[in-house]
Amino acid sequence: MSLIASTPANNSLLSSGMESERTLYPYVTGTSVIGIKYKDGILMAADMGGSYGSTLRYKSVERLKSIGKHSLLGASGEISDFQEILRYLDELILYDNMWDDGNSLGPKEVHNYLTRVMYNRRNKFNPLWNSLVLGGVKNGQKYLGMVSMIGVHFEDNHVATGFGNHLARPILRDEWHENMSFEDAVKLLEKCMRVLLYRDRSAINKLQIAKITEEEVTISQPYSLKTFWGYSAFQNPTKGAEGSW
Amino acid sequence: MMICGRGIEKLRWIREDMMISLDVFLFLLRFMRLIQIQMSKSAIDVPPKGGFNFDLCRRNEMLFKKGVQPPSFRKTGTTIVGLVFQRLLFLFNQLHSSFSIFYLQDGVILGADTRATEGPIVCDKNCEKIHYMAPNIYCCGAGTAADTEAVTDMVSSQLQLHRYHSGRESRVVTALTLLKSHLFKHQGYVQAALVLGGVDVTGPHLHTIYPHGSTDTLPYATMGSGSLAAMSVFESKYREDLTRDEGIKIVSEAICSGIFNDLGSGSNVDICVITKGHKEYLRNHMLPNPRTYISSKGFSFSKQIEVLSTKVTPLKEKVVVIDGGDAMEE
Repeated sequence: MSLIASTPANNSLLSSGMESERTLYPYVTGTSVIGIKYKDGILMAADMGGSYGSTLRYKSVERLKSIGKHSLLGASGEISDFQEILRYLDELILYDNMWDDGNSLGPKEVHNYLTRVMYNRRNKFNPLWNSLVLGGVKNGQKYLGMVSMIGVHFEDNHVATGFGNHLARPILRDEWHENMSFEDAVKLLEKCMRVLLYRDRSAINKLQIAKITEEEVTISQPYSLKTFWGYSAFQNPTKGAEGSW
Repeated sequence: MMICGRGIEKLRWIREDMMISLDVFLFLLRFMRLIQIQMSKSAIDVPPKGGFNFDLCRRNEMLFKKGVQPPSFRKTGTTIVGLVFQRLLFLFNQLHSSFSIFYLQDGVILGADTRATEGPIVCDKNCEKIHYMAPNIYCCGAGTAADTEAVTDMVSSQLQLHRYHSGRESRVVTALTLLKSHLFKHQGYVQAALVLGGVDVTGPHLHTIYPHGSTDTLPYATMGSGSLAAMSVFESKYREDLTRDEGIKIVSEAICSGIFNDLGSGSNVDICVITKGHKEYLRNHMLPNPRTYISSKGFSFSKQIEVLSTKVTPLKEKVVVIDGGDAMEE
């Protein structure tokens, strides 16, 4: 299974094998994903935007997908690499089902598989340009982990990728606590997504929230958040100083 | 009297009534030409007005190639924030066309952390980032420490002179305009990112000033490396109708968020509350990073220094002076 990601400069004319072909920059990117553990399982939120550089090209990109029975994967970064990862995971789950032994891959196993894939690709200088959030519940054990594009992986109670690292993580560190109820957890995620909507250039106001518990996986329909722009200072910023800006 | 220097005829044509002798005319001609040369010479010597002089840049590059390291400068990698609080009171019949807003208690709260970094090292654990501009105006500074201090000092003295001249309290927009025109003139080389806040006759004002000279007028603002962490707190917690104590609490939380989530900010929280006619500079309002010791009592050195043993080594015997030896062996 050879994987060649061609750069924009070296097209098929130069495929003599001498030129190294590797991913140099991402093209269509998704912005941050946030995941938290709550009382019954894992909640993840991501918006549905795919940006082509500075243009908002795609507005219905689903960046949260369920993997097997027990896991949920969210990705930020290059969308095509995310689709490639989904293909690998499809194959992995298929082979696992073919064993038909009553056992199924849990979130920890899938997380480990993804770490190995990402790290191996980075060692070949041909990374999959994604930051992945993997969450799931198996046998009552909740699991939430993250893998970055260079293979850095860790497990935590709340994770965020991309801009969420800077904007959402401070809020999560302050306000997350064990055994949050579903409504509280959704409110917390929406608070973080709202800040991201205000302050992240590539965020859009159309998001999905995915929930995974022992029993089921649900990915919500897309919806939008309410925003507030009615501060009196925004109405008239140069009040008292006419002519300045 | 215009001297063209083209001929006596021209001269006579300009002023018919004014007759001068030839030698006086020639003297004047030479004098004018001399002045012209002087002016053109000085026009080459004087550098263009405004901004920095970059003549030494090529020489610095050459030195750098030869291996001479330029000195590193001290930055205040920072979290600085500002917030306007206005207690609003609405009348009953709050129809769209008729409601009144009374500002009961309003002012500006500025906050800053206290860490100054020099590359990866913390060089000052407890520096002051909230600078005085006027009795009713204070300014927080992020970026290169020298730039923020110099620029705020300079504008502060200009404001004082202006106060003497006009006899009135300084306005925040005055400080804003002075700062922004100075920073723009230097095209971003003066790396000072400032949060300027104050209360004057026109009300409370809060502005941010970026190193290239652009400004924003905002109800709440953050700057510095910890600005994202602090802004996430503001965006989720700010509302219009804040009291002074609620405002201080939100500002402290924002600075703490910067301190704990950003590596460039740390140590303590400084707060400055400015209201009409009154200001409060709360230095080290919060100390969320105290020095901790294993023992709960802390550590104290004993007052009496115990002498354990004494050993005296006389130094004079060890020195051997050679008389008549050679002064310097080559």
